[in-house]
Amino acid sequence: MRLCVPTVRLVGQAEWAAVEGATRPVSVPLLQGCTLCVMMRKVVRQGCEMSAAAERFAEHGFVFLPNWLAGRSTLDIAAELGGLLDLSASVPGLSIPAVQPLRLQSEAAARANTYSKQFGRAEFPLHNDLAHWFRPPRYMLLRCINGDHGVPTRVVKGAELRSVFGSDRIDRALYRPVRPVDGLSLSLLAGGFAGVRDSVRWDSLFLLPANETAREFRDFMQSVGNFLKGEKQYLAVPGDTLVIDNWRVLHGRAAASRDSPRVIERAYLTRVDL
Amino acid sequence: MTVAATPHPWSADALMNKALLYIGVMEGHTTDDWEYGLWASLALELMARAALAHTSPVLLADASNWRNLSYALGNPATSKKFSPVSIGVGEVLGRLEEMHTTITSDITGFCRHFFQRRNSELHSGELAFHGRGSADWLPPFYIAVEALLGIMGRPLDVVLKNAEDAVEMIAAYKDDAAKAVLQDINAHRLVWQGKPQLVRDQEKAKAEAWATKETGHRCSCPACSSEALVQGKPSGTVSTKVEPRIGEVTEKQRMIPASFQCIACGLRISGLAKLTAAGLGDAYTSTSIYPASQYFELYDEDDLEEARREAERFEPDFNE
Repeated sequence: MRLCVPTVRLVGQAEWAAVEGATRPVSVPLLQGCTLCVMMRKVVRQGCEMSAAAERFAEHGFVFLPNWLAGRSTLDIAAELGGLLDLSASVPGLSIPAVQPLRLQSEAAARANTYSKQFGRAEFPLHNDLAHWFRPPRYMLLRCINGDHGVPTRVVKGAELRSVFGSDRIDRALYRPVRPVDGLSLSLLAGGFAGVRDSVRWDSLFLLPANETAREFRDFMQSVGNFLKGEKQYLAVPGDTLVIDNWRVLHGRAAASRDSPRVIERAYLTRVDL
Repeated sequence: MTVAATPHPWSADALMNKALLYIGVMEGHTTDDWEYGLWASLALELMARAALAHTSPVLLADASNWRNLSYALGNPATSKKFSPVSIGVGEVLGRLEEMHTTITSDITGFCRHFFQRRNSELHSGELAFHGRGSADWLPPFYIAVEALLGIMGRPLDVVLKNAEDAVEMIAAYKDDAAKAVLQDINAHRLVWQGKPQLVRDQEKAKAEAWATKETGHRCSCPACSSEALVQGKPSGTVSTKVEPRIGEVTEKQRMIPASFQCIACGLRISGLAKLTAAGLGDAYTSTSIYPASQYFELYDEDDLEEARREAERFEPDFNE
């Protein structure tokens, strides 16, 4: 129990915890020495941190939130950030849970037509999730359940790729899915997402180039792109959260050892409200 | 922003992506190859459809069967053996011209002619694109592409590898068209000035009477300064104003000039590009005034009189 002088009341542990967990800045007078005000100062600081996170996300297309709201479920976190996207509701016949556990698998153990089947525990090449969809999920979050300091997730910004390869060339590239997504027909997919600054679409496994510019981009990614430094994000501690704009950023997991305990949960979002 | 695994086949994105693919194949040939023209014509139709679908894919549906409209709205088929049908490209062009001021009759006229060549190539033994080069169709093709992309807010350089060359070609084409028109006006002016004054005065009077009688937009002929007429095509929305006190409805609509005629010196100009070069390309407003009873299809005095006369012919019920 603590004493708040301005309000002359005792603040219980539950209320203290609720204030500690708040992510929105609160406008309160800050009186020195007041326990409640110390709590509010912390909330204001957290609010400022979240504003900075929002700015980083808007500028770079991704943001890493270390040990964020630890102890809360990925489902809660997704709801906290914005709208949880239920893919099964969006695409009839699809059975994908709203929160997907991602565990390291060997090629032998993995399901057909998955990255794990193709690459196992080796490094995943840079890609957007569901790049073979006409309009893939815009936002995604990756949350550490069980971390591994030795397995970073590499992120490369579309802006960087556009500056190296050429913005208009990326927009002229056309791809098609390897297999019909709906089992019936194939459609052409543009190399960028119309109207979205610095967007890029790429997947070396699920997309086939349909025109010359796309073939050039494929060759570029194979020769140069996969060696782009990008930024490494370490989902090492439970609660570490990486929020990604799936249209503006490519990502790929580093190679993992056989005994790596890494477990990540992934959720797709309709919006991000940091 | 909704997730979608596949695009609707009639969506602007799907049509535009295919047009982009065909442009890429076109650019893989030289301008002298017959394939260059053929792929250009295929890409242009897809772009026209994409431009119309940019407003809504429903505008592409053949409305004679409501199921086509339902399909365009993204609904699954509700009838066995249903095959969705879209409107023909001629209708696509007509709708684009009516909805967008940037799609002029020059552009749709070129497109119709170009698609006819494409049809000849595909459906007959005629070699519609062989050995004919591209100088006559490439600049207006680029003009059409630029206008259609403009509807969708897409820049030329996303579609064409050599967008700068296309822009230069468009500018040169418009310049050449302007020079040709000015030469034509000069020629008519010289002939007019060679006529005796009496003849000129008589022709001017005839032209004034004719311009007053005929419908069109009256203007001064650039060659002989007589009263002449510009005919236009309606463009954009109709503005309607009801004047209840005087029982009239006034409708106004913007008209884009399409042709010019002067009966005094015989000068004729057609096409917006040439009219613009001649200083006659400004849009004008067409005003129509209707009696309110006619506009709203109300009963007027004549209808009421006829009703009264009919009533007089009925015999009353009588137990005779």
